Amino acid sequence: MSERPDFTPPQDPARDPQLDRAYRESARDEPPARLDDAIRAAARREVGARPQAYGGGGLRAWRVPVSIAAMLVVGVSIVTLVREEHPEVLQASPPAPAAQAPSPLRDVAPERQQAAVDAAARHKDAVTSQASAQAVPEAKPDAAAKLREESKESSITQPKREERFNEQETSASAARNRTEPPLENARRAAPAAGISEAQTSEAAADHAVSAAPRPALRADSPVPATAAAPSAEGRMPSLAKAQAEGDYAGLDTPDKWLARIRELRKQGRLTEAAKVLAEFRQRHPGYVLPPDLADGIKP
Amino acid sequence: MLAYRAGDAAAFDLLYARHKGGVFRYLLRLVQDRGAAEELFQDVWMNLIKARAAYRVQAKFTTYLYRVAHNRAIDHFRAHKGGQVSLDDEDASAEVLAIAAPASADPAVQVEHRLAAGKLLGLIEALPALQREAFLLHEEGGMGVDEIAAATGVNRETAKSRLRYALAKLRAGTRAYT
Repeated sequence: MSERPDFTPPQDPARDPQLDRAYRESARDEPPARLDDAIRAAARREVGARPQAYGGGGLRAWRVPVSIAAMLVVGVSIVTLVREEHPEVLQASPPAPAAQAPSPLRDVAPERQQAAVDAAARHKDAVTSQASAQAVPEAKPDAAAKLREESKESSITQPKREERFNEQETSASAARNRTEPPLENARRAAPAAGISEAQTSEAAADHAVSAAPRPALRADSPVPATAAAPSAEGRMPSLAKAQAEGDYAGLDTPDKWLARIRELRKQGRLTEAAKVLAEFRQRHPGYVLPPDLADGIKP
Repeated sequence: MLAYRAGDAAAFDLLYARHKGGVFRYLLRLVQDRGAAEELFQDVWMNLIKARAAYRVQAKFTTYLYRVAHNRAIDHFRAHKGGQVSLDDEDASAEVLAIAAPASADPAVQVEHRLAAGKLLGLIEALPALQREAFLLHEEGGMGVDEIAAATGVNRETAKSRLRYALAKLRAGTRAYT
């Protein structure tokens, strides 16, 4: 071997604590700082990283997951709040393109134009019937008096009757105009018909024209069924009531009722006498009729 | 080292702080020249950095590190053969012992001469190079016989013999001067 033959090494090469301590105390040489910096810089260049403090990797590793979690929490919170406080924002469907575009009616397809015109016409008829029903009570004094005269005077000619009808229509239209502006009616009906605001304006203009006083009907021209029927239907109960109120005006006591009935019978107006008697029986059900009026009364 | 291979520069800083003193003192005591020791020290760590991607776990990192340092020291001794020692030539043991032996035939005189700079350090420097290396690996690298054998590339018995002789001489030297 290479060891000197005259030297007997110890059998146990275990550490010698005293020798270890003595060596630690004497051997304290360290590499110069410039070498430390050069070697560390070379190591960082090799991996392309910047110098960092020990333990910083943990925080950096959690940065992205924490950011994603925060974004999710904020997003869910916003959606939940909007859903609870403004559900219409999430449920509202986008408006129809025709309603958004301010284009005139000529830009709309022909079938759409026709549908809009039909819807406006239907709306106009509905408004007319409604306004007629509302206008009759307001024009009660004039219309009731004229109708009473009409019922009394059976010799009134057809042209005069038509003139009275036109007057009633005019007053009804005026009352309708006072009740609702045409534009508001047209706009209210527009969404249901699916027409645009421009179309609504045109329909309103048409409505305004139709609401103007109509020319007097000729004596030989019949009343249009489409125009007369709805008005008559809506007007009949109110007119009958007004007529009845006019017929029974001044009959504040049973004696006056009975005198009225006798007078009608004398004049030969038996039908009217029976109507007044029936009304008297309704208003005074406990009154015992005299024998001259009790005949013909059904039990 | 695996973390540094994966790109964690902080792992290298930890590794360097833990081993820089031992490696530097190993080289300094071995070549007995501070300038040469600093140059070898820097080469060792630069080689380690460049070999980062090729690093494979085959032994303790300490063993790997001191193996690199041992090889660099051999290269140094080969480049400066005039009067220096070759650590990888077991057949040159006689030459090593002759060169590393004190100039004076009396070891006590040689040690006494070195104690002025440092008693124990003088004893270490007076050891033959192979025994000195075994002792330095044992003290600075915390290695046992097997690890010393792996770091120096010799068999276990050889490493054990070198370490035993080194420790025996140092014990005898310290007893003589205490």
